[in-house]
Amino acid sequence: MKEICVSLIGNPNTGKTTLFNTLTGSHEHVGNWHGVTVEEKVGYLFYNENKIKLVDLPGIYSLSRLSFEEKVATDYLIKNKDNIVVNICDYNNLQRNLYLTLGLIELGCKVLMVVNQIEKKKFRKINIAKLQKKLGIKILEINAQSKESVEEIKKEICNFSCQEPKINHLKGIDLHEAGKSLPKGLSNLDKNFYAIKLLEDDVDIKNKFNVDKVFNKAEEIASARYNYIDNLMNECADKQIKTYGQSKLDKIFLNKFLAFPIFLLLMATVFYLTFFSLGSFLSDGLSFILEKFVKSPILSLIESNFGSEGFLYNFFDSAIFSGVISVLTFLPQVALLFVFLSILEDSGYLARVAFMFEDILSKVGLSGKSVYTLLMGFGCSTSAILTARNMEDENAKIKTALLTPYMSCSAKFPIYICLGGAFFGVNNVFVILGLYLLGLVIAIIMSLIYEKTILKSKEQSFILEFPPYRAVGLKQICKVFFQNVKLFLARVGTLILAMNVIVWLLGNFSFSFKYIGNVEGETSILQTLGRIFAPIFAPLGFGSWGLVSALIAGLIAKEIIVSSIALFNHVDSSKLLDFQQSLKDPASAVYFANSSSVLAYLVFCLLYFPCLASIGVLYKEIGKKWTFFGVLMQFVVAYFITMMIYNISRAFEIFGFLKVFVFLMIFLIIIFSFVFIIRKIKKKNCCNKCENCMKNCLKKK
Amino acid sequence: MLTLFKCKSNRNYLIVGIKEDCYFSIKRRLLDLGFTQGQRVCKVKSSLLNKVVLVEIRGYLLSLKSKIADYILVEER
Repeated sequence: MKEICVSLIGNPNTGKTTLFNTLTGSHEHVGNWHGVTVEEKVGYLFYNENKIKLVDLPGIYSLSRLSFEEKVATDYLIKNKDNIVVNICDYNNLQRNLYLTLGLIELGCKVLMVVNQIEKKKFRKINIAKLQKKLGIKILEINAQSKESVEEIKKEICNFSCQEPKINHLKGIDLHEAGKSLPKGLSNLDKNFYAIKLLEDDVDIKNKFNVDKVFNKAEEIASARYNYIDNLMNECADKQIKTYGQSKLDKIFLNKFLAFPIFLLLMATVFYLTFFSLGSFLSDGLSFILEKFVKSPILSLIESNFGSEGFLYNFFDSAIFSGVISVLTFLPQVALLFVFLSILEDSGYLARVAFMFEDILSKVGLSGKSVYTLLMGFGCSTSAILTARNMEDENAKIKTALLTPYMSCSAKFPIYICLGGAFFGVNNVFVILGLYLLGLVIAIIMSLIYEKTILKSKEQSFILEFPPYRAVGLKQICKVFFQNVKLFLARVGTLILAMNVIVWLLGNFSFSFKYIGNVEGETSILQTLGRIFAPIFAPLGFGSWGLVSALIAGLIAKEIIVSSIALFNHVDSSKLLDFQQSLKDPASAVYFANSSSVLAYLVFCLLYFPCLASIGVLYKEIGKKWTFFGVLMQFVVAYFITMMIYNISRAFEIFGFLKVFVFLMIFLIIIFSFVFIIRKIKKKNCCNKCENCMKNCLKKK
Repeated sequence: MLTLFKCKSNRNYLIVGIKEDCYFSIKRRLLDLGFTQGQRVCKVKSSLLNKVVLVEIRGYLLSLKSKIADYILVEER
């Protein structure tokens, strides 16, 4: 059997990952957004006794080695020159995509170009056969989703006959001059490529060959490439009828007055559908089915054989069913949230959102591109943090990654519903909304603080291509839904089940490894641990051991917080009413004295340490130092914000609304006037010509 | 000199060049994206606070920071 190595490369958002998925049958994440693929991925496929190794490289515009992705891709291509390079292009944006193709030809790659048509409509008719002849490389016209195209590509790869591509497009440029600076012994192709890079004043290549001379030809070369492309397109294609990415919808979605209201409305609809109407309907149904057809039969089986008292029954009842089912019932909601996020992404709307928010976010030191990461953070911070990788500025990337855990991820939602519902009743909707907003506001404030102190972001170019709006197919929606269901089930089946068992064991055994069950007067291991840490949380209004132990267990996964509280109270957390009743009952192991302490607990759950999986990803993405700092910061922020909210809310309860409100207003006015006065004094020290620049003023004097 | 940032919306201009004081990496990125001399370009939209502009070039749409658009010199044709 022969192994053929193939690398897949193309501009961002040309359907590269879709092609990779259909070729290899895998389920990598696809979106209508640039840079979804952030690192190379490998897949294998087979065709007629041939094994094909396919490497998916990040989407790039050129081989200029300016960004992280470009470096990854170019280095890979230089190192693996024998690979066949499948260059995927978008039919409707071919003139821009060809620029990368020319780069690949310069590099001397064995290029197989595939032209993918994503939109139904063609913006222009292109004579592919003619283009193929002119460019001197093989071109296939495909649809990345169809099976036939895939077979065609596989066949073409296996029968690929290498003709050395010729560089036709740099006629007027003297490569010889730069070639002199290169060491002898390079092949002709290598020599040409490095000479071009030297002429473009590529820093890395210059360092590699110790060349200091400045050639200043980048402009000329780029023009030459584009002129060549223009000529090609004039010869081989009709005139373009529509601008790629332009749409009448933008008149509404990017309207000065309507843009933000529409965005808020869309987000509100998403959250309403996910968590309240559709989502809660599905989740109630699922809970009923699980209760009726899984839990009751098995438990009655155990009861008839072993009796309802004792270790085994208790173990199955509380450790396995109660905990796992209570988490499982949130499955539809979590999957729905991911579906909606992916619809927003695939439709092309997110690029518009990034455009809208760039104004505001650049003020607090983030980029419009952070919106994507932060929105994904509502789903799951672990996967969201990964998407921060395609940001240009290192500091902005670190900031975005550190702020993502402040977003209220889907795992925290059960806590709000179960605990908040017990005390706030109908008003819980507003409490939940408030919590989501609180996370956002704190993220923005933290960003501002980071920006002013340690993580000042550099000038960012914010170059973002506008993808066309695309209708999202039902097939794609189902795929995302079931993929997330699968992921969630895997998580529940492994991590959460295991953690529930551990929490149950720790909660039901004493330090002398004696099973204590419901016996009063014995202290379990977890209770002892909780008691040690509980005093720290007393100023926040929840100093009882059970709540603190639940927080510790929640470090592994936030879903466990609810189920472990239910475990401590010896109630079934899938029976919501029983569970909520036990939270109010002073006789149970874990209860809340008043609604302020519930509120405080919810806020703390929202803000405290991210789960271990997120910490792991943070560590990988931004390094030890920043992870440690960020996580610690998060705890500190959580602690103080919670303390503040608890005390204010407590004051409302005790002194009545009006008095506290007036007091708070006076307090705020005093603080603002202080800030104002300090600013005035500072300004006086400055001359009129420039503001806030003491150093410059001194120089001028 | 007129720049892509200061020019009027929804009108065609020709690119004259990129300012000298532009960072080299940004200049190369702009060239790669097709902002070459003599190319037709059109500013489609500015954002609310004028921090970003949306530009049509070579048959596709691209958003750029206003500061960067200000490096691109254009002339009326």
